[in-house]
Amino acid sequence: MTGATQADTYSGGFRQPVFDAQGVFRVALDALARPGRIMPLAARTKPPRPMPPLLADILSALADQDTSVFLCPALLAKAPSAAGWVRFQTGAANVKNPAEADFVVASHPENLPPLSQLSPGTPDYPDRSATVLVAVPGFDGGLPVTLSGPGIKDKIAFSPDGMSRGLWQQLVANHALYPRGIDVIFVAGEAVVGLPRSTRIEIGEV
Amino acid sequence: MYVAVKGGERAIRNAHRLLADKRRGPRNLPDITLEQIASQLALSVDRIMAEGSLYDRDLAALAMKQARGDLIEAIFLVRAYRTTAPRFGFSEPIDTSKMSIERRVSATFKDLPGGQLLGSTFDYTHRLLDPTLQGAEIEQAARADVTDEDRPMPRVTDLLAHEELIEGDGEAEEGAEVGDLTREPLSFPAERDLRLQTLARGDEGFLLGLGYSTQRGYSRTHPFVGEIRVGMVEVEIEIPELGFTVSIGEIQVTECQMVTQFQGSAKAPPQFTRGYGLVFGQGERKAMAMSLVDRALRAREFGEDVVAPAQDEEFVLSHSDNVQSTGFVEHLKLPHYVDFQAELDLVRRMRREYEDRTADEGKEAAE
Amino acid sequence: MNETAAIDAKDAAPVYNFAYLDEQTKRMIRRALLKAVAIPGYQVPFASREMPMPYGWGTGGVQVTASVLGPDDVLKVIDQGADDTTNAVAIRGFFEKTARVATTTVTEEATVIQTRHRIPETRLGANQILVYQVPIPEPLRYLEPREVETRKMHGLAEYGLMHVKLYEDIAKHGHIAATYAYPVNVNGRYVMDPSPIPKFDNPKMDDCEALQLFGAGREKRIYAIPPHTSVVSLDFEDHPFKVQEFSEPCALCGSRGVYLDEVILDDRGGRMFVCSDTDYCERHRPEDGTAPVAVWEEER
Repeated sequence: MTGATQADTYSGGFRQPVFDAQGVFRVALDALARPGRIMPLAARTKPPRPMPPLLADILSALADQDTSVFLCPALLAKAPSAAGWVRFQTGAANVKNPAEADFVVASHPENLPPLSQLSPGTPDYPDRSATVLVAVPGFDGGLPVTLSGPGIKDKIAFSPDGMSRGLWQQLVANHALYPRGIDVIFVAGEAVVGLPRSTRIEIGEV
Repeated sequence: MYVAVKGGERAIRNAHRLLADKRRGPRNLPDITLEQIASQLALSVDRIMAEGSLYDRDLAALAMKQARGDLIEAIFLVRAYRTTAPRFGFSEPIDTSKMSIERRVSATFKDLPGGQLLGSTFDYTHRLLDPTLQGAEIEQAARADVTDEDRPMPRVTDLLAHEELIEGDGEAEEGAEVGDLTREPLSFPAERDLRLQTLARGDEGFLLGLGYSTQRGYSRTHPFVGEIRVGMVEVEIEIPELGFTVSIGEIQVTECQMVTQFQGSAKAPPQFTRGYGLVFGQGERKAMAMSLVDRALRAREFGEDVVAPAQDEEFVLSHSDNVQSTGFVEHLKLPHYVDFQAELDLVRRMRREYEDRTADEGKEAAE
Repeated sequence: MNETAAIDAKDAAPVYNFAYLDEQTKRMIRRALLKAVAIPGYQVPFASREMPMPYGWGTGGVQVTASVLGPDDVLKVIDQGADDTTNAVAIRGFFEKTARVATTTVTEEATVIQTRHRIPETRLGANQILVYQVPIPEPLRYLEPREVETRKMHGLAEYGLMHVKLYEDIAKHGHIAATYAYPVNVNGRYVMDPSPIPKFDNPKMDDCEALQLFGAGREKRIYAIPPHTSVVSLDFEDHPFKVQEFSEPCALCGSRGVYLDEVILDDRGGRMFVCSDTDYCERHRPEDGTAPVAVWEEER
């Protein structure tokens, strides 16, 4: 390991680990409790570039030696030291097979593995499922979808940039597995949006 | 005018002050020291360590003093402390065959390599109250020099294993992870590692009753004490950076290997089976009860019918922890007036309906 | 604000982490909470820790509160609806000591409310989290004691047993005999135990603005109801769900449509009914202090 990447690996974590973790978690909790709502979240970490800081924030708050993390190959290609950073900062094991991961992390929706490969939990233990953390270029300008279900009063429109119709269809299929399924947290800039498995998705405007 | 009862905060403070006063007791008596508790009430301290699942004599003695001798309260104090302690790693399995033995008895063989060693025991004492213990300074007990036995004492189960008369030690597969119910919630069916962990932390009285029930026919296993051994074992830990293990100290444990019956099956020849018990400190009663219950809980493994409470994994494991059971039983003294009000309302309503009904029936009968 | 708080001001040691729990435990609970929110009404197993208070006395709620609480939160703790019941006082004191957070008795001011057995009468808002202490999280437990079986029933959404039990009640007593911990169906999927709140409070859970979190420490389960989630009390067409009605208003503040405690005044049947929600009651008293005191006499 070169000096530069070592510095990368050991620095840039939470500065106030207790309060930073709590702050990030509360926003993530709120995001999954109110799907489709844009929740501001200021980045607290400085992971190796170009890893989006909010992905690193959420991992730092939630991942540890009891969990495993899959980082998408595209992210690792651009930020090779990200794997070491996540490992050092959280203690979580990096896994090559997304099916084994508790957290599946992608720097762009296009880089996500097929969602059907990820663990949706079992009928008896639907909680034993993957959580997807994915960065999008922005929360508007993309293909519009309409969300409804728990956490949403009536309906809410959502149109994150970078999401293809095919990916939305995979998420529709994910909801059909309910109560099994994966849960997604989108990040863009300094905000996050939650999309749990419980959310009904209609592709198209309200 | 009615004023609701207030001042919970002050009431609590006063109650705790009173508790501290009672704990100290009459001031003309010397305050009991932790050293005295740890050395002279050592078996209570051992039980606190075992069920508190923390090997620390000083903390266990402190907990005992703080709890005014209430062992379950002391166990609870130790558990609450333990749960916040950081984890540095996991020890290697302790090797009880290398124990430096203080006591060792076998009920299955009159003599055996290493011999029997009674050590310190209540066994064969006449249970007559001893007046010489009344006055502290009157009679110094005879000093007994104890030398740990250095001669090799192979485990009885290892001796039996030579003839394959007894099943082997439950060898885990290479790389298998040992469960830890303090880190992962217990789910059912539970494997033997988690069952043994639960039993080792479990309430001595509860396991004693269950073990006893197996002797009285509720899942009889024809047990023999293959061996009970008490002594010190080394705890080793692997340091990944160094690539080898180092000893971090010694702990006293009591191990019981219960030899039990198995008829054999179409696939396996007849062979003795085992129940296993291991506790921190000297705790023979608990180790023996644990080994009986461990064997009973292996019913599934041996294809035995689950017909008795001691064989019922979910029943035994869910109710053996005294910190859990004492909490839930004692929570009944917390206010429940909201629920009780709801029940009162229903009972009143149902009684009115009952009275209306019987009145109607009375009228009809009269007509 | 420090990340650690001394547990005892007199004695600097031992020093515990902010809100008592260590960070690894908080992460484990937080992961469970996120899954709980994603699967409304489903009981997520978690590795509950021994807390410095007994199991059954709110350890589940305390662990959830400790995991969500931040330095800017304002905490309210109630037991039986009241801020001044001994266990509420003890739990509030625990967080004052270990997290040094601001506390309040005023429902609207709180961002986190930990409760045992009641939902406040004041309507909860979107910026609030209600944390319930849960003794037995499994609604099917009294019908089937085995976890292996009840887990299967939830997996298959096989709730026939529950409906049979409720209907047997009606056949035998003319009523569903459950008056508290009355089972609900959450988001049309999971049957859930709302903890031993009186069924009077059940309707408040439906389409609630606040996030509702449930912690069962001894039983090692966490579950949740996100805001605006459908929560339906189980019933039958010919026996619709009905809440308890009180014939008298609160004797202290005169409020109607609130849940009342029965207070026995003497040994001759004298009694009065007062709000169980002490905060609500105190803030609804008439200004001149001449609230009508209605002593309810047993109907003879």
